[in-house]
Amino acid sequence: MEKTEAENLKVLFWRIDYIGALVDGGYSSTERSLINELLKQKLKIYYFSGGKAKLPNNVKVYNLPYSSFYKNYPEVPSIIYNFRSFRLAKKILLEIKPINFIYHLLHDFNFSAALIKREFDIPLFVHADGVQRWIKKHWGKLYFDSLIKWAEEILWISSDRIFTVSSNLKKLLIDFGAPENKIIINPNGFDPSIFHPNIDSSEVKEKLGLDGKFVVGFSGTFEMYHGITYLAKAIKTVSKRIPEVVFLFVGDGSYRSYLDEIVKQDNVQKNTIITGFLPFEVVPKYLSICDVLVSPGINNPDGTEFFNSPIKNFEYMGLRKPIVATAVGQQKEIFIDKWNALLIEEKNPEAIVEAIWTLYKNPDLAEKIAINAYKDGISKHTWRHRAQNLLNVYFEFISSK
Amino acid sequence: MKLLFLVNGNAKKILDAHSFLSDDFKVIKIDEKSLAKPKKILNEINGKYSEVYFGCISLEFQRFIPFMLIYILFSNAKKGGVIDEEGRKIKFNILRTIFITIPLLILEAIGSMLIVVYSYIYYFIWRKLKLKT
Repeated sequence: MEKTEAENLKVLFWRIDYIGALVDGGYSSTERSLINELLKQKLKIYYFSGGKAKLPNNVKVYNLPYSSFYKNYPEVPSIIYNFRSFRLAKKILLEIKPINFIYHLLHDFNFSAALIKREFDIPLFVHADGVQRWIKKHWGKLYFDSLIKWAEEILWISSDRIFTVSSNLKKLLIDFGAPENKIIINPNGFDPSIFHPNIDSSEVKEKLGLDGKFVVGFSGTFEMYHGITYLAKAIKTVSKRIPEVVFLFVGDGSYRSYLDEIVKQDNVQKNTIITGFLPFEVVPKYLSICDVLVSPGINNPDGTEFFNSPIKNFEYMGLRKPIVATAVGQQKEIFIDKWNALLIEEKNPEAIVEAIWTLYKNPDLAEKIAINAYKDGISKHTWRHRAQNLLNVYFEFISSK
Repeated sequence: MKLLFLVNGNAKKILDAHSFLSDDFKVIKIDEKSLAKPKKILNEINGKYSEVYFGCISLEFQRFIPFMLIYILFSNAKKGGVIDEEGRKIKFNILRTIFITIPLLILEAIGSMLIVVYSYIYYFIWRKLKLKT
């Protein structure tokens, strides 16, 4: 694709989920990174959001706020927001049109983008980093099943393309009614100017008292599917074998209390640091301290395979660190055992222990894995690759019309 | 001893923003889903603490604040509030909770039910009729 084709395209990123006060992590990082790459190609970016957003200055951000009254009962705020977001978006779009395409995050009960597409005839690309109906059924509570089902069906039919992050998620989307011919797999990635091997983290290292320590790191949200409890259960045995080990957990989430409990029960407080949520800008400094980085994701309890595309995996690659990852979902696709990671069995603290021990005892293997992961990351998994893929899909779509 | 339920955010930042001393507080990390488990929350707060606080990043974006105030109402402390990292605070007040917070919550429940009924009709029509045209 010629660069000039992309210049001056006007793209609307539209985020309708309730993000509250959190502006880092998960999809926030994905969209910010995609937007950054598109800006480098001189696209004009507009952004609609129901909450706070941390974006580059040259993005025109419009706040489409949630109702301040209806916010205390489950699912109702999202249902009301379907009507509200359509009304507010329509008003703004009348001022800023024409828009070349909308890139819209799928969220529960909301098909306002389908209403907008019908009204303005703008190509609609939906980003599905999960199937909300499945997520609410399995990880939360679902009260109004038909409403969420109908909203998703309307979006599947109205969208021109559905972007998702892994092949397992594609399978799930198809099971839940998304048309296969519309689905594009575009995994997460990393920014090599932020996550690279030459970060000076001496200040953070000193602050955390990690000089002379062997640091095992994890970053991300502490959710069930990231398998954080299995990593926590490995601390006790690793610390017996490597007394100077410190496990550095960068992040927070609903599984924090389980993590705290295991650390307390196993009496490994002195071998554990939990940072809580950190601003995205400082995360690379914390991870670059680490000697090994772990991605202990697990398959879902209902038997479906791990379908995420953990951003951490790509960031670990960019930092040129030896990686230990469970052999689940996309991790089996991007990592090759003993080549660019040590792949281990999921839900197995002993396997985590053995992998860390192997890397500790064998610095040459650790170095080889780190270098190969870095090469792979740079050549295949940067946000630039992902943004380019998005633009290629747009131009193919336009030419097929 | 005072209690801080950390719903989200950083406990130190929250306590510092209100000039509270960390040593005076026991901090318990919970998530929003835990607020739907009254037994768990009430077990924690009953009888042990002089003040009960719920902490978050920003009051502006925090959901379920009325439920937090109702938990404080049912605690023995009956003192505390909801506080955030930016130094803002919703101070617990018994009368305000009983005569304003709870009635508003009931009103919201009634409005929510009507909206859900309307949505069932609207979503159904959109899916069945409008998508075909």
